[in-house]
Amino acid sequence: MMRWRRERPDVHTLVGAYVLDSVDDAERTAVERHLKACPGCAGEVAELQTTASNLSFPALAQPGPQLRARLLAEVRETRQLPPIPQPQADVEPWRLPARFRQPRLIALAAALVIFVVMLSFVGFNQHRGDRPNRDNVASAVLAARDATTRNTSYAESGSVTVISSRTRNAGVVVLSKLPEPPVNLRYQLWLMHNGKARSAGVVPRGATMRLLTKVDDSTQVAMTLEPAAGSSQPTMNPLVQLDL
Amino acid sequence: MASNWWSELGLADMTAAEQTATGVDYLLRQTAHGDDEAFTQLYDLTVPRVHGLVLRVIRNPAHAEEVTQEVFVEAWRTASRYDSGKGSALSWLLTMAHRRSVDRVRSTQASTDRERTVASGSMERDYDVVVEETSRSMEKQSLRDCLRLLSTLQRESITLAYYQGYTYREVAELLRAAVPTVKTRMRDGLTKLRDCMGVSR
Repeated sequence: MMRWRRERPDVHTLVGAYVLDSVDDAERTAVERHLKACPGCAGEVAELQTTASNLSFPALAQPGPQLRARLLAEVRETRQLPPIPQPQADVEPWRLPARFRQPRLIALAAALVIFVVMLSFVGFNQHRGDRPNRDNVASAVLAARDATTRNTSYAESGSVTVISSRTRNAGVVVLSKLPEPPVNLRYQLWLMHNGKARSAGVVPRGATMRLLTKVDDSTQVAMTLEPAAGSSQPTMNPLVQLDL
Repeated sequence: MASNWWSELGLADMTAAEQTATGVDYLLRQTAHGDDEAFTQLYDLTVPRVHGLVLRVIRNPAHAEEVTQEVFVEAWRTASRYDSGKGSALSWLLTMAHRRSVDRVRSTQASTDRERTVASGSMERDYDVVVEETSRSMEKQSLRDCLRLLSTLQRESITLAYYQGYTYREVAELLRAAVPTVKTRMRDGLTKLRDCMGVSR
């Protein structure tokens, strides 16, 4: 840091303006040249850059659907660049902290991706406010401090994940790659309490997310296969059973 | 699974935005492997944020769509160069989107209808819009709270630069403040926001 101040008093004071893209081209080049040689400064810039990108949070807008088609067509014809060779020796390589390298987290990330993609469909691709309640409940569950997650695999490559929150009295079930049920059957979810089952809804064919509301004192979520119209009580032993 | 590994991993303390970011990071890594399905999901998931920012800076919807497309093509091309040590994938995308938007605004400065006097009234309005726009509550709450911690000069310097794409010299001119002061306020204001939002790499 001291070295930098001695050599380039100007560059240092430009960090804030640089992060806000508020510098001119010559200044941008000067700052970037300096960042390559100064890992400490690069760290500060990275943090401030994340901070600045948080400023954009309230701005949400959906472009026209033709943009998506144009973009995907362009991408199909665009070659990707190879990774940049490893940085200089005196720059400490960044590693994912050990606690994030667990397969369980990756499974959770996958479940979250599906969940969030679902949210983006309900939230953005339909008219806003269409299902505000459902959207809000799901967001609230995810953001809840006491959110707990249970996950189990099912069949060959499927998995069922339940994210639930006592304070929100709600949960989100993410169904990933479940085998298609036989033609006149559907998966049905149940909330269990003291060995008694209460229906938490029939899962429409192909659905990947279900919301659980009024979880109350239920202790488990179970899944069975039932006739397409649903059953009032489970007619088989649970295929999947997860603690709440 | 007996233990609550969600909280074991610290995920219970993540905001919804950070949890979204986890998914975006995963999709971007897959994109770097040439997985166009992952890229499509990445687009669907992040385009409201990216386009929202681009449109906000550029204002002209047609130009904004062009820039949004450029941003995602760039993300596809350079996905393998994303360095997760420097921040989340979402932040990477938004940083790219902001820079391209500002570049576009500057290069078309003379010809756009953006050129209008920015009186202090419209600055206030911008701040209000940022703060009041309906959105998911948690992150907005913390953004609003954090912006309130800044001095007026810090806040206006940052929001004028970020949302209007002005250079710090232009900002100094508009706010009738000394150029070095504005540079300093941008930096210490961002630092204060960083600490308030708990941003770390």
